[in-house]
Amino acid sequence: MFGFFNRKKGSANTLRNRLQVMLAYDRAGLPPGKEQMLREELLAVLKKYFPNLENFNMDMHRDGEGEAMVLKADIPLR
Amino acid sequence: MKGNVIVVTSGKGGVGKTTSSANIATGLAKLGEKVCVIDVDVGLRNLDSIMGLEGRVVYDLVDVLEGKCKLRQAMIKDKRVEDLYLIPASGTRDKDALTIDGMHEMVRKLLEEEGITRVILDSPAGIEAGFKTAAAPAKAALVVVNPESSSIRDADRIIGLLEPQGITEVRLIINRLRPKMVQKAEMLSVEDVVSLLGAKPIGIVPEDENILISTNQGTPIVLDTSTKAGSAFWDAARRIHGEDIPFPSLEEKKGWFERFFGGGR
Repeated sequence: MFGFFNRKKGSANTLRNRLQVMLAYDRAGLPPGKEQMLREELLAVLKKYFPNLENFNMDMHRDGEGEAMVLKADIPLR
Repeated sequence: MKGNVIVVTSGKGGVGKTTSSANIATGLAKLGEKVCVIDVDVGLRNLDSIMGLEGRVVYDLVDVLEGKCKLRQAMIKDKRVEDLYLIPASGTRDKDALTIDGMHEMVRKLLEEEGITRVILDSPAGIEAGFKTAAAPAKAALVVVNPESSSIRDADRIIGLLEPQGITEVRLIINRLRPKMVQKAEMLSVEDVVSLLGAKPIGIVPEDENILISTNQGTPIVLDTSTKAGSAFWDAARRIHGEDIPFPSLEEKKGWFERFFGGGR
């Protein structure tokens, strides 16, 4: 019984976290499921110029003023 | 709020746009403004019954835009409050009559020829043509949002669509708040909503059974400030009018709140 209550407790916190992510993707106009596809296609293109490239970090976030969405990629070049 | 033409919108339906439009318009009129509130839906008529004016509808918005009547003939004068007028929505589904040019011209006439000082446009739900038509003449926007998943997501979308329309004065009406649920962390708080949407609130209206009673009777609840929702809408109207009304504590993190919104304009 108490387990049930613990699971329900703080559902607002869960929603807040979910909404932060949802709103970020909504604003970017990219469904979250497509982000992986984007990453793979970018990697394929980059590998044409940098054959040694294995992987890179990609991050989507709000810019400083919270107005625009920014896609940032850290691409390690040998 | 500085904008004399305010669109009331939300994205999501059923969150309290029409109730807010009716109550803010009534409140502003009580504060001495000369208000015309317009139901910009097509085919679905709601504002007239919320305000208890349904029995006096003769002409509607589409009649005005199609030139079938004079503007003044479609303005229903509220008998309870001075200088409050309603232009009801059309009962037919003829979307094509609602042109953006027509809306601009009607608003211009209201402000320049009919002595109106504040126009409130009650937008339909959604982000399509109805919303765009309602928002076209607007200088400012009230976004009505419930502290709930779909409503916040839709509000965020709508806010994103207001800026390209040239509307930069955007304020939130956070409606149907349940302070007890917020305290138990089962409902998002006002701070959460504000932070997620990146917009300032101008009204915080708690869930209140009296709202249903007021719409049953066709008497906007802002006229009864002994009720929680009534006094919340009254405070919102006063803030829009330009008064410095602090937000009530609602038993939340008081310090943060007053630090951020102290004046509440």
